[in-house]
Formats: sequence, C-alpha cells, structure tokens
Amino acid sequence: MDRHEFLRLHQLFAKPLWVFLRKSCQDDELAQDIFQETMTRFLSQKLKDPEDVQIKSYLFRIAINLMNDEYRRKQRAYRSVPSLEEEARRQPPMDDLSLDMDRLFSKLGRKERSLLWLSAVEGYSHREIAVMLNLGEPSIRVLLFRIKKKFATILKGEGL
Amino acid sequence: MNEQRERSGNANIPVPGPDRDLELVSNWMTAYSRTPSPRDLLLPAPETVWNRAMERLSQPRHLTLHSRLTLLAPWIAGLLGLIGLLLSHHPFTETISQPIRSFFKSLPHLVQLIGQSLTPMILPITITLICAIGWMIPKAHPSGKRT
Repeated sequence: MDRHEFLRLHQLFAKPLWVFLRKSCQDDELAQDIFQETMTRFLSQKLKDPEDVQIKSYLFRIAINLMNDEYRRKQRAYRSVPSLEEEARRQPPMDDLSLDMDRLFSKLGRKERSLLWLSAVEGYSHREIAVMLNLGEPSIRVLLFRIKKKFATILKGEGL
Repeated sequence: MNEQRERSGNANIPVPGPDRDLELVSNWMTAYSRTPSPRDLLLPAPETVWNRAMERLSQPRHLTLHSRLTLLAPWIAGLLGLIGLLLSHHPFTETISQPIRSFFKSLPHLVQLIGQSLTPMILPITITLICAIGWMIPKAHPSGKRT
C-alpha cells in the first residue's frame, strides 16, 4: 500500500477507530499505542483489493485483538492495581459533559464498552461483531441485551 | 393496551411495548457519540502514523520466545514424527514395549487384551499425537487472532 492510499484510508477510518479505542480503553495513551500498532499491522498486510467496508471491519478486528492482548498482559503485570472501572467509580462527577459521559461509560467493563459501541454507534450487525470478536452470533445477541440492561440500570442510578 | 392485544391475536396475551431500558441506552449512546470531546482531537496525524509504521516495518522483525516456538513447532513435530516412523521399525520399540506389556498383564482380562494389542502402536501413536499438537499450536496471525 502506498502513502497516498494510506492517507485516503486514514481520512475515512482513523477517526471512528480512534474514538472507538478512546471510548473502549478510557486511557488516551493506551489508545494511541493501540491505534499506532493497529495501523502498523494493517500496513504490514498485503490485502488484495479489499472493499472499504472490509478494511474498516478488519481495522476494528485488529484493534480489538490488540486491546484484549494488552489487558491480558496488564492484568498479569498489575494485579494489585485497581482497574479502570474501579478508578472511574471512585472519581467524582465532572463538570464537562463529555467527561461526565465518559465517566458513566467507564462504569461498564472494557469488553462491554467495545461491544456496545460497535453495535450502538458503529452500527455493526450481530453477525459482524461475532466475526470481529470470534464469538457466536447468538452469544452476541445475549451479551448485548445484558449489557444494555446493565447500562440502563447504571444510567437510572445516575438519575437519567 | 387494547391495540397491543389485538396485534397479538390473543386478547389474553399482551404484546410488550418498546423496552424503555433499551431505548434509554440507545438514546444515551447516540448522544454520547455526538458529544464532542476535547480528547477526540488527540487523533494521531496521518503522517506521523505512516512514518512510525514504516520505521517499524523496516526494522528486522523481533520475535518473542513464544513466537519462535510457535513458528518452530510444526518443524519440530515433523522431525519427531519422522524419528517415530523410523523407530517403529527398530528393535528398540520392542524393548520399550516390554514394561508396558508387563503392566497390562496385571490388569483385568479385557483391558489386558486391548492394551497388549495396542502396545506395539504406543510409540507411533505418541509421536503422532505430538505431531498433531505441534500442528495445532496457534500460529501468530497479524490481526492478533489465534488461528
């Protein structure tokens, strides 16, 4: 892939991927590292004329796998360190609306955030998410339902 | 409610309306995705991403011990398989089969029969299993997915 083609794809997919990573990780530095690694891995591939939709889904898949690896490594290395979710629960409410929304979203687990974002914001179907996460389609349906119910309880608890 | 009952085709079974919880989450997610965050601007510049990626890709690939093992596993398994194949025709196989045969003799008749008939096959079977496991060890995939 040449530089010109990369810049075109960057324009198309970098923002959704970046926002997805930020919202899922709730950690800007980690999101940046994973974003860079995702792009590097993507560039190291020789894909034969893929469609743009496939590229987007492939980028998300690489990013999800990298996130999983990173959190698995982190869990091993820092078992005593409180998780992002625990930290988020301790944080006091913030004034800025987007930060406050981030705080609420952080109350979900990392995988739950990813799943909900892919479905509710990116608009991926259960089947597409199942392929990305290497899970069965029925499992995705059940998981999403539970996550939505859980998040609804969180939102109601905050008086929404 | 009456309309819902009519839609269900049965007056006794009410059709549930739209789930308010799911609606709440859906609306909130839409609002969340549309609320700009100052941190969204931290999106790395395309030139930086390209340059870093090219720099990384031009460097010799660093393999971890696990990656090395997974890459070597099929070759090691194949080699062991070959050795197994050669050994199965060697008198050595008969020598190592003796203690196994004696062990089976102490077992009930049926197990003894099955065990003894399988004994000459134990070495090839073991090596074939090692080969199979070697082949099944996931190979490193660029997407990070275990294949």
